[in-house]
Amino acid sequence: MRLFRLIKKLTLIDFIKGSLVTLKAFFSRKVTVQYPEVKTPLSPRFRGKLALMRYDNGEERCIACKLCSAVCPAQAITIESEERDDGTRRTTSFEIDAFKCIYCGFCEEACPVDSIVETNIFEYHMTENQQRIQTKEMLLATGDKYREQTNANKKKDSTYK
Amino acid sequence: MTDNEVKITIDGVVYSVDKNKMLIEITDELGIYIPRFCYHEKLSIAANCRMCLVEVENSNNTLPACATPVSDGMVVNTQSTSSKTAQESTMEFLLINHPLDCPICDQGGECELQDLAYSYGKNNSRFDLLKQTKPNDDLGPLVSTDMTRCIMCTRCVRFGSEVAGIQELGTIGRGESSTISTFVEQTVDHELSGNIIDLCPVGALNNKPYRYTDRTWELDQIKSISPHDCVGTNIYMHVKNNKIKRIVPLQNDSINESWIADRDRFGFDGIYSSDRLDGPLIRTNGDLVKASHEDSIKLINEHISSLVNSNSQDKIAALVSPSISLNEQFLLANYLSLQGVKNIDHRIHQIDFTGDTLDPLFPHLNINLSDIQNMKTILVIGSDLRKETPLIAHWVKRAADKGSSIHFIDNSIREYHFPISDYIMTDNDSITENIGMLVKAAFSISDSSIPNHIEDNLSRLPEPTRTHKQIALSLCNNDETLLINGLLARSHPDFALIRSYINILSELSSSRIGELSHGANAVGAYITGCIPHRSQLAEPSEQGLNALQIASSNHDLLILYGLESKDCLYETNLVESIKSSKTVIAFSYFEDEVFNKYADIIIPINTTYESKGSFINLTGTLQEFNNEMMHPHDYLSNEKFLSDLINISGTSLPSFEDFLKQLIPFIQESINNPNYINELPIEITETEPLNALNEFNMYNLDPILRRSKPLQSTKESLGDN
Repeated sequence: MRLFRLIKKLTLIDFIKGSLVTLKAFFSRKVTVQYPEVKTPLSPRFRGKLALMRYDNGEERCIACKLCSAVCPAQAITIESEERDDGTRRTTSFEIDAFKCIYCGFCEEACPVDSIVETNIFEYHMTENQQRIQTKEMLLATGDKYREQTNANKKKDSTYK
Repeated sequence: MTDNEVKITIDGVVYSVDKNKMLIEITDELGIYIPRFCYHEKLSIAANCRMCLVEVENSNNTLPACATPVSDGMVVNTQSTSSKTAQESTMEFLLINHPLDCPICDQGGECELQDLAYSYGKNNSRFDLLKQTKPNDDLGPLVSTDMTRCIMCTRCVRFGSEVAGIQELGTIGRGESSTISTFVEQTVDHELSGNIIDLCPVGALNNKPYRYTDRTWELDQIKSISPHDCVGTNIYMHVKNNKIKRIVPLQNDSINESWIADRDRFGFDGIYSSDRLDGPLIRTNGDLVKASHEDSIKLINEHISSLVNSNSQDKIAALVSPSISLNEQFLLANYLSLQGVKNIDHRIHQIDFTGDTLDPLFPHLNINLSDIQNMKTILVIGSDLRKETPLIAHWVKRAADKGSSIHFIDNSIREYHFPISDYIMTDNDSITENIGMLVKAAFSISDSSIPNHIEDNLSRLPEPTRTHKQIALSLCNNDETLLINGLLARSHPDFALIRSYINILSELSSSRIGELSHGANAVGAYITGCIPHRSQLAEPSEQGLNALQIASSNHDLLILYGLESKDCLYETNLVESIKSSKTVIAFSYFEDEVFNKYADIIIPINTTYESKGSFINLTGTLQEFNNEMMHPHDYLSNEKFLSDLINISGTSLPSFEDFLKQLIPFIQESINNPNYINELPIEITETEPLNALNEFNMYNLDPILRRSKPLQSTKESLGDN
């Protein structure tokens, strides 16, 4: 047993094995990219920044059922609602604390009208603490901006739901 | 096992149960759950939802548990396959036409249909035709309707016909097209109508002011007591972010069962009125300037101590709202009596004070509310009962439905939804005369001779008519009789005489006397000494000025606590007094025109919706509440303010705990031995020609109700009924 180990040591077998792995990687395709110029592909299920969507006619989807705020494990969503003049149930304020949000996607699953969605955006910043609160206007603007991309992603994923 | 009991087997366990009950009542008592929609323990049995079908052995079909009386040897399987299948099929039929709008339905989260659909609903619907929709009626400012959600359980209809007495909602149409509606387009105006919101098992009838604002799971539930009448209705306040969102009843079978009046349910809205005061105001150079609590306490103390030091306590007067909590009354009455101030009163709705010496220790009903239904004869004197105390009217209706004879003596014909035996309608002045005639009739029936001291008065009256004799006969011949002395009588210019007659009548016919009182805590005001003729616990004291005298004269210092001039029956007198008094200190919830113009110090106080305290209701029940978390943030508690005021004045704070210890035995003693005095009041010269209370607006009773938007938009308030 001792002899076997001695031979293994002297012939540098382990060293050569390790070097071969390095050599293999040297010739294979690279997995790193030059972020931010180049970006890795994202799954359509990727859970990024939250947004509120609208119907095609421009009407906001959210009906203030508050299921998202009820299901939210981080209690990041705060909603106030009332009866709008046309008699429909609408939110008066819809706020998400971006620092509390853990991007679990439960809200998206709970939403009965597909209003709250998670976009593919994972890179965003703010310069002041107060900006972590995303208001209804900001969320709707995000939804409008990434509408096409989000819809395409949801469509791709829809066959698995 | 007594004669009244039978043995039945439920789910394999043998129970011996009351044979006069329905199966569902038995299972409810035993804690075995059977699903139901139309069954409600306070309403009659309709058995039209079919949700409570259970398997009973030896019966061909499953039977509805709510309409199946128990019988000896009955074997019930609530969990068997055939029970489950029956319940699931019923649920499937109910869900055929029920819309899937739970996310926007206010009932979502507390919906009986939603809950049961989880347990008994099937995953898929086999129904692929069009769902039915139904038109919505406008039921007024309090109840919202979404009739498409209705499952036709008819609880609201039965509530109308059995509890409210007026069937405002009914079922129209047949079969599939049957719907709940008012038929002729009209609003729901009964003073208890808000209860159909709680009764509706689905979201068809909902709370209109609360519509679409919050979900039930966001709300905290706090027990409290309603401050709008003397009944002491038990309520739950549903609160979010320290703000009351809605109020629902708390079941208390000895006071309010499961019902509350609309003003208990919607009145709280007033405390969020925009004219709520947010800090003390002190008048400097003619303008009201914001000040700190410390400064205002100091200033009040200066004002009072300067008058006290110069021995002119009689220049100080205080009017106190009858609806403030016991603790506040205690501190206020103690503080003033320690300073030697005798002019304190809460009876701002009373004109005639000549009977002060004949006052009972406090006005009380002398009977539990739930015992009213067992009375054989009830005579209501000078009372718009349904508006004054909707829940007492409910109990009286219960008595009438059981066959009691109910009589009225009143100054106008009012609408009651139960059989009335005799109704004596007179003008305001002749109420006294009519009661006198009743006493006369009672004397002749009981064959006792009329005592000397009342002979003069009675002989001046006309002979009793047949109606008077009938009422007197009914009172004298029955054992369980009750005389209800209403709020209109209390505000009558001859109140003292009316009450003396009632006292005499009560002795002649051995009836109980139930006295209604204004405000939520008039009983407490009497006991704590917020009256000029007695001090704490009915100890005799030197006579001070009564409410009318206070309101009709000028003072060096006038203190108003928790009331506005509009609350007072003699509003013009009070406004005049506020104008001409040297210094006016107003403790108020809201900004008020009169105070803004003439008050020198305005102190914001908390409503009882936002503070800790207790009320004594008219049956003498002490009920505590603790709503301190509802404080607007920069408020000082009322108790703290008054305690600070007492401390700064150099007197020691009296112990409320000691007072409470004496309180309970005192109340018990006075209710068990109500010492009604059969003397007539000493006649005084003509009272001022003040307008007595003729009409009772049930939504104009206190500053909070006056500012409640939903109540102010009802027919009652707008006055177009």
